[in-house]
Amino acid sequence: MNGSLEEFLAGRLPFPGLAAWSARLSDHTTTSHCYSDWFAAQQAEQTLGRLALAADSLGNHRIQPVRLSWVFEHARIYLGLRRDGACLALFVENRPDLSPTAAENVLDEFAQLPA
Amino acid sequence: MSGENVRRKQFLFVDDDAGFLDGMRELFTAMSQETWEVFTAESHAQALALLQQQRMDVLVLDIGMPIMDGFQFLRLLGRTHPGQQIVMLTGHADDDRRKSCLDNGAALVLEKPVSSAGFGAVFAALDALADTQPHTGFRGMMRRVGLQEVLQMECLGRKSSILEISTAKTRGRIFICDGSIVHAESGTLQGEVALYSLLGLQDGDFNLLTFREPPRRTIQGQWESLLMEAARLTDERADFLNTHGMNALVPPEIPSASPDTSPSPSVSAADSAPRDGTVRILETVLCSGSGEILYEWECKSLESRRRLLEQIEQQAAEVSALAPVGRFDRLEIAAQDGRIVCHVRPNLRLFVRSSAAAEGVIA
Repeated sequence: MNGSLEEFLAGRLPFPGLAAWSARLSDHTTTSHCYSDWFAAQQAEQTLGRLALAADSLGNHRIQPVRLSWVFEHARIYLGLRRDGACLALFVENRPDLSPTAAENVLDEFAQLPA
Repeated sequence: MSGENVRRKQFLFVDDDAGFLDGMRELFTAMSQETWEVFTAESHAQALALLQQQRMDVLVLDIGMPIMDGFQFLRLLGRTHPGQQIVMLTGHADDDRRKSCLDNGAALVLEKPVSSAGFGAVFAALDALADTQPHTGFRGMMRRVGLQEVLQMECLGRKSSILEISTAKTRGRIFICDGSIVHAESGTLQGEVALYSLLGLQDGDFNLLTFREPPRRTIQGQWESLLMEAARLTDERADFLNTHGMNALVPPEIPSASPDTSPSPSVSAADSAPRDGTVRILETVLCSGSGEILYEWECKSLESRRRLLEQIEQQAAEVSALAPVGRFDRLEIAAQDGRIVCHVRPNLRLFVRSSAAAEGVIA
């Protein structure tokens, strides 16, 4: 899926406000890209790993998420989850003029990508 | 001890059968060797009038009365004369009747005696029950009293009692032993969470019952600290409501979907997303920063929700340490058939679950 993911993301990213993305494939390989100095690739990947674990732990509370948005003072981190275990995090500036629609559309399409 | 110095036990028998009342009075006065004073009333109105004039140790009430049956009168007495020992007499003490009476505050449910042995048994039970009443001190009713004040009185007096609290939706008990609050329970809650939840109630009824050991002691610490913490949590909730309005907690529209029968809360198809495109609040939990439940609506597992909010706060703190994202505000979760928002503030945590949002609403 690695090639098709990069092709998919290249066609849709970046959108306004996107600072970085990081993806973990079903084989647990991780890839990422930063559009500014705000995030380092390692930070994005570590954060993705932490958020993926957090998403898994929601199952203990009988919550099965398909998409999450962690809202912080300066950033929104959108996390999309696929049934095959792959996940994609989008690190977006938290600005009132930015709509979540672009990030959500990317995550919805990511969920539908062929394995 | 001379008979003049012994206070006679006061009994009031309420029955619409005058012959039965006369018989009971004569028989029980004789059996008690004048240690009982037996009053009778043929109607509820007479009984209420007598209760206004005379303190009764035990009131014996016939269930099958005209106009207002014994169950209704029992409930009425629970409000007008809380703490009054009441025994229900019935010709048919089946399990349902017995349970209904005991649930509504009756101390005993006895079958109407038909034999001398039966009368002897009833006499013995009533006599023993009257002995459980304290013969000194005041008994009365206070109106518009806060639960904190009642607890304060019990604790200051180093009393042992059970404060039973009930509202239309909630029933709970606070156990006080030698002036210390040792246990509280409210629905599925126990311990301090139950105590704070009960002390946060705005109105309802309370009753002080004779102390008995709780199933386990779940609360330690000074009662003063516990009441101060309860007051702080109540204030926090009031502040939250002042800031956000009642709509922040109370669902604007009660879901009409059939009840979710799943054993624990989940975002599932059973929640039945509305067909008209509107979003409905399905569940709300508000906790203090230290995890005490301040408010809940339609939550089937408070402990699970409390743990979830704690977990999210911890996970967000870890992310804040990993990346320059700043202070955490909230987590929005989109699931197949619903949406969850978890707000985490230093002093408040809020969980709201709603039905499926329209596309693009997660914002």
